[in-house]
This record gives sequence, structure tokens and C-alpha cells, in this order.
Amino acid sequence: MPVDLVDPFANEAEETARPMRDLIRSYFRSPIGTFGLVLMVLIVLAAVFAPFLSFQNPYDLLQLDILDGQLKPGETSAAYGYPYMLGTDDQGRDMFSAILYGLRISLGVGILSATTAALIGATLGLVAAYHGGRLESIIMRLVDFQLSFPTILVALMILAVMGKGIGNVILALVLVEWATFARTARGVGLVESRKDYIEASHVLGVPSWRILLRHLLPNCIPPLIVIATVQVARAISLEATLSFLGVGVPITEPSLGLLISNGYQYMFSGMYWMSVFPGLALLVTIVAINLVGDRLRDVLNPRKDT
Amino acid sequence: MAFSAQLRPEETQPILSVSGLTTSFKVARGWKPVVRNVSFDIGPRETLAVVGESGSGKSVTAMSIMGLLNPRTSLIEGEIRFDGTSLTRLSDAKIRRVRGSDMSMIFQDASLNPVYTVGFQLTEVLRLKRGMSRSQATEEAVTLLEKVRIPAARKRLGDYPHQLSGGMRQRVAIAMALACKPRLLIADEPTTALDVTIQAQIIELIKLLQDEEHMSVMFITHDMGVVAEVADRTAVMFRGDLVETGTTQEIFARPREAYTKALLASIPRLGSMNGTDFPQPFELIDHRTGEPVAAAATPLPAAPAGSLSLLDVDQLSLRFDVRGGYLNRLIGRVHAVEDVSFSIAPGETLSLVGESGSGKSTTARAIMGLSSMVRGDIRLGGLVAAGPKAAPRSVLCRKQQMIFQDPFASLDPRFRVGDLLAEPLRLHLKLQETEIEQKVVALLRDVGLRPDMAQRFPHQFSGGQRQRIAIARALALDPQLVVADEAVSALDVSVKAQVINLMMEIQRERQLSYLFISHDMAVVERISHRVAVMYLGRIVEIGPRRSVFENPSHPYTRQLMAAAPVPDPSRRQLRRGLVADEIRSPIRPKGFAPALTRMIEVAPDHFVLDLPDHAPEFP
Repeated sequence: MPVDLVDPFANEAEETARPMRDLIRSYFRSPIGTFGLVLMVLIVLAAVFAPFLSFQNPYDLLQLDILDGQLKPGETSAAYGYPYMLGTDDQGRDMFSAILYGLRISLGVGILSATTAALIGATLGLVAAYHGGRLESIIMRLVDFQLSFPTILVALMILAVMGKGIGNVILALVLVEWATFARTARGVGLVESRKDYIEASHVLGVPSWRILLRHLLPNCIPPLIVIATVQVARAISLEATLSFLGVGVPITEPSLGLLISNGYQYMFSGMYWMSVFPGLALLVTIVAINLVGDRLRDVLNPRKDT
Repeated sequence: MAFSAQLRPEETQPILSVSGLTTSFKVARGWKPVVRNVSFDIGPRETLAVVGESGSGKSVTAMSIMGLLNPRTSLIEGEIRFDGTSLTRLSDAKIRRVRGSDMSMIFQDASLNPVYTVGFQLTEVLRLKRGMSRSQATEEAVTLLEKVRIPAARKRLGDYPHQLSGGMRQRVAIAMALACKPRLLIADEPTTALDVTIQAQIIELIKLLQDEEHMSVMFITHDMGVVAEVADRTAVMFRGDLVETGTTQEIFARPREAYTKALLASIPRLGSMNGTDFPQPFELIDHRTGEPVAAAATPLPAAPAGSLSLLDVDQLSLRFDVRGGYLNRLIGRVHAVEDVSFSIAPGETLSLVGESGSGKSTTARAIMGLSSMVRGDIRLGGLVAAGPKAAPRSVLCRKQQMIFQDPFASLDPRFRVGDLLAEPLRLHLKLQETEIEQKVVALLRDVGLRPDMAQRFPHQFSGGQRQRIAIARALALDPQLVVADEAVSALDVSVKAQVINLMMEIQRERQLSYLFISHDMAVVERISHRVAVMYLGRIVEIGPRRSVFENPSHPYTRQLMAAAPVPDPSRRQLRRGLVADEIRSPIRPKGFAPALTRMIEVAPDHFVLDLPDHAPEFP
């Protein structure tokens, strides 16, 4: 049995024990990052509990009263007796309720498309990094091809062919976004797969798929999380753009972009609330998510200066 | 406890005087001292070595003196006097005037700006600091480069840093440090990134320049061998404290503190094994008590004579294409490994020694099946180990395993240690979960770790402990051969000796064979039964360790042994004469036909490469 001498460096290493806790603590060191996160959580909660926060289901046409149309913020409903805090649109839809429900669609589309794109893109990128050779060339040329087109143009073309609908919007967003993830994942994957622990796994006879999934992927996650956060914001704004242009969600279930578009024609008649409030909601949402993304980038970057 | 260093009687006024220096870094809550109450003096023309392992605060001490620490995140207390003036109270602008003209610093990797030529960077300093005109500065730059013994100095002025080798870059950095005729040169690990023969050149150069320029030198290093070569006085640091100061002779001959004793006991000394045949563990000393550790320092037995060899490498060659020019044509090949043959018996350690580019690691990777493009035969106990006909990995990995150089990179940071050790067991052995757990516990015990450490992540361990984990993982499948690629090179001295002892104990218990790859002759002398010296992809000398070390027959082996720093100031070598030889490149033009290998037996089982005089590869 070998004799153990006490390692003079042993205790030092034990001190740095809780990586997750340290990460969280260092996230909240920034007031702006904290503000962004609080805002984002509030927005998500508002979207999730929309049915309880609003007194009207803006998608249920039976609940709308055309006589309540085009009311100013603060005016009271003739039919229900509630005040419309943010006014109504031309069909008598309560703007506050419509924004909350619109947020649901925007966030849902954004998160769903970003995660799907992340899954597909990261997988392809990591496979390219790990496998190398011809497979890598094919995947990465496909990425280059994809990224050489303006995103909005590609999304417009896809929706023009496939028609409106939330499902199709998500599909279009995934198709334009996966390439960003693939490129990032390949970059990180290349760095990681040259490290000794990957080679050590080879030597230990760990099968390739297992090395890829259990060793490579978990070590590439941090930068992908940052990209994913920013991509959620990008997807939300892209969805809003598409809806604004009239190729996004159906008119009966307006998302924020469509609400802006609907109100847009009344802008010059002084009925600013129909597009300004959804616009503000969209802006705040995107800013909040980007603040969180920026802070995550700082926190997850190993070379941070704090 | 602080030792205020004694002034040498003949020195009246120290050039640098540090007293009660405490440097703290900002942490989440308050300030954490990393250097505590350190005091020492450096006299005129004196060399003080500050020696310590990682985290000892030796570099931070130097940075504090130079005023290079960010004042927002670091706090310097105490007194630093340079030639009588206090540096701690000087303004930034005034410090800048002292820094670079009265004292200069050289770093581990020559700090040159990659986008400017060597000449531009040198003349810039001369024009700014010494107010020279362009033509004067150019002449002076040439003189400086000649001073640091760079051949064809004038031609080198137009070179960019990447066109120079590591040793030449370090020479240029020294030339820049000398540009303003400093009175104190602070050298922070200036030779650590260099090969041994180049390291010897740079040390020689610094000693020579010190004589010529009448400088004082503060030499920061982790290598006791280098200390013994250069220093008049030595200061030993440990975890932010100055443990002991004294003349270098005193420190080596009569260390007072337990830590110094432990440190000295753990240095491998080239030549300490003369007259013995077999590897022998270090006799270590506990760094807290200063008492010897009751270790089984008995020599390891030899491999049973006449047994079948375990690993056979036969005429192994590996070449990598070098492409360039228009349309990426093949313009040459790196002859990384050239016609290498050797074998290893069960229970035997064969070491491959050589400097960077010698092909030792490439050989190891080829044996482990990590390289494609292999020519020749590698057989492991009847199995083909590499090449297109290799046995499946799942079979090979139970017979041969590898330990990597950097224990911070070779363990997946997201796996608990227990899972890291269990992974190969789960994949290759059909065992119950409880059996796996027992095996993990046994493995941890075997390498001197506690079983409860299985719950931790790799970053919660020190470098030495991580390398133990890597060893445990390599042993998990009970292999017959372990390839250790520079497995102890990244470790601190005191830990290095422990890990080497551990490897020997494991060999004794399990009858393992090692292929031990290292650039460190002294470590190799300790651990090997047999040694193969590699140079430019070829084995130039191979034989029993005793025969090769006591009677080195190839000129390169002799060069390598002469270059290794001797950790004994009384045997400080006479000036070796300053050469500027470079390590040669193994890149050959397309269609190059290497000479055939012919080995001559100079002693029983001891072979030396014999190349015809006209062979194009060697000098």
C-alpha cells in the first residue's frame, strides 16, 4: 500500500467547492442583470397566468363587444362595467388582455423555436466538430449557405409557401435559427474535443456516441445557453415582424406583432394605444431577455474580470 | 514569521530592500493576503533566487516590486526600497520611469508583440527611454542582440517574433530588458517553457550578462536545479510566506525549515542512482514535521529475464504532410517518428526521453491508437495495437491505458470522481452496481485517496490529487501496460516525487509495465529499468538505464545530460561555453529518403544509432 504524504496543495482546492452557487451569486452582483431577470420573470408569470389576470379572453369573439370598440385607456366598458386600463382596439378587444395573451404567443413561439433550433443546431455542430472530415464540411457549408441569406427573407419565403399558422411560424424560425447554434456549437466543440479528457475517454474505450453526449455536450453548454437566450429574443422580434407583415399568426389570435399591425392604421387618427402599448410590451420583453443574456455571457465566461 | 535577510558583510547598500511586504487581492468579501510579511534584500551584483511551488506568491512578490498589479484589485503594504527610494509611495508616472530603466523584468514566455518586428520593438525602447535617434537606436539594437549572442544579429532585426524559436525569443526579451542598462533584472521563470538544452543556454547567458553588466538579478523559479546553478542567495517561499533565506550553499547543505527539507528531498538528482541497477523510490520528508517518511524505498526488481516481451514496436514511422503554396500542394513532411523499434517486458519501465519535436509523444499516441497514418508494427501481447488491422478498442483498452500530462485537462470537469472511475468499469466489465462501488473505493485507496472523495468533482482537488485520480482511472481495467506521457511534468516538485513513488509502488504490486515519457533526465533516472533517447524522430540510444546514464555513448545523450541543471551548488558547473544551437526541425522536403537505421551494440543490450557521416539528418 502506498504511503500518502499530505499534499501541501490539497486544502486550497477543496475551498472552491460550490460552482453553481458561485455562479448564481455572481449573476446577482450586477444590478442591471438582476433587474433584467426580475423583469423577465414578471413577464413570463404574466403570460402564464394571463387567464387569471385579464377579465376577457381576447380570442373568444363572443366575449368581445363591438360597441366597446376604440375606447381610450381608462374608459369603462358599457357591457361589463370594467374599466379598460389600456383601451380597446377596433373590435372592442381589451388591449391589456390582448397584450397578456399576445405575450403568451410571442414567448411560446420564441422559446419553442429557440430550443428546437438549439437542439438541432447544437447536435449538428457538435457532430461536425467531433467527427471532422467530409461530414463536417457538408454540415458547415450548409450553415454558411443558410447564414448567407437574410433571415427575414428566408422566413417570408417559407411562410409564403406553407401558409400562416403558429406551427408554421415556429418551423420557419427553427429553419432560420439552427445555423447560428450549429456554428457556435462547432466552435466550442472543436476547442473541447481537443482537450485531453476526450482523448482519455477514447483510450478508456468509451463509445463515440457516449463521448459525444456524456462528455462533449455537457462541457459545451454554457455558451449555448447564452446564444439560446439571445435567440429567444431574436425569435420573438422575428415573429412580431412576420405577424406585422401579415404572414405570421392568424388574425383571430393576435400576437404582439399583429396587435401592433392592427393598431397601426389608427395611429394617425390619434388612437395611439392600439399599437403603442403592444409595442412597449414587445420592447420591454426583448430588452429584459437581452439583459439576462448579456449577464449570463459575463457570468459564464471563464475569463471574466470580477 | 518573517526572516529579515542578513546582509552580506561586503555589501554596504542593498540595491533592493523589501521589508514587511504584504500583498492582498480583492475577493468577494474583503482582501485575501497572498504574500505575507516578506522581507529580503538584494545587494549589488547579487543574484537572489526566489523559489517556491505554485501558489507560493513568488510571482506576486515580483509583480508587487515592479508595480505591475492593478491597484483596484490588489493592495500592497510594507516597504519596497529601490536604491534608497521608496517605491510604494511613488506616483504611477515616476514608477514607470524606474521600471524599465533601473529595473526590468523578463517573463516565462518572451513578451514580444507579434505584429512588430524585433528591430522595431528594440529601437522603440531605446528611442523612448534613452532618447536615441533612429540610426543610433538601430546600431545599439544590433549591439544588444549580439550581447545576447544571437547569430547574424543585424539580419534578425527584420524578423517577427514568430519567425524565431522559443530560445531566441527569450534572448530578444532579455536584450529588451537590457536596453536601458538596468541595475536590477527580475526574471520570472524565464526558462520554464524552454527545452533543457535551451534552458542551459539561457541560464548561462543570464550569468554571463550579469558579470558584464554589473546587474543584480532576482531569479524566480520553481526548479531547485536552476537555483543551484544561478543563485548567490536563495529565498524559499511557501503559500505566501517566506520560509527561509540564506546563501544557496547553506540552503542546500543545511536547510533549517521542514518545508525546505521536504522540498530538497523530493528533487530528483541526476547521478544519484549511479552504481544501482534498478529503479528506486524517493526517500521523502514530511513538509510539516521535517521527519523522514517511513516509505518502502527498496529498489524495484528487474523484469524476469528471458520473459516474452509485452509490447513490441517494430519499425514504427509516422509522417504528417506539410501543405502550402498555391492550391495547397504537398511541400514536405514532418518525419515525426522515423523507424523506431523497441520492446517492453512485463513489469518493466522503459522511458522515452527527448526534447520537444523528438517524437516521443507521437510514439506514445501511436501505441495508444490515437494516431492514424502509422507505418510499422505495434503488437501488444499478441494483439495488433495500431494501424488498419488493429484489434477493437474494447479489447485493447483492457490491456493498455494512458496517463496524460495535464491532470487539469484529462478529467472531465462535469463528472464526479466516482463516476469517472466507474465509467470504464460499467462499460467493459459485467459487474453489479455494488461491485463497481467496491472497486471504485479500492482504486481510490490504491492511489492514496479517501473513499469519500468519490463524491467530489475534479476541480475540488489539487494537481497532484488529480493525477492520482487519473492513475486510478488508468488502473481501473487492470491493464498490463500504462503509457505515461509526461505524467509528472506539470506537477509541483514535492508532489511530483510522491506521484513517482506511487507509480513505482503500483508497479511493484501489479507487475505493470510502463512506457514513461519525459524530458526530465533526472526523473527518468529514478523510474526506469531501460531508457531510450529520442532525437528528431529516431531512437539514438537505447539500453539499460545504468548503462546509458553511466556511459552515454551518443553525443546527443551526453548533451542532454550535461544540460540538466544539477541541484547542488557545490557542483555548479564551470562555464559551459555559450552555444546558440537550436533544436532542429524534423520537417523534410517531399521525397526525402531517410537513411537506414543501424544500431551498434556498445555494451550488453545497449545500442547506439550509427548514421553514416553523409546522412542528411544529423549534424
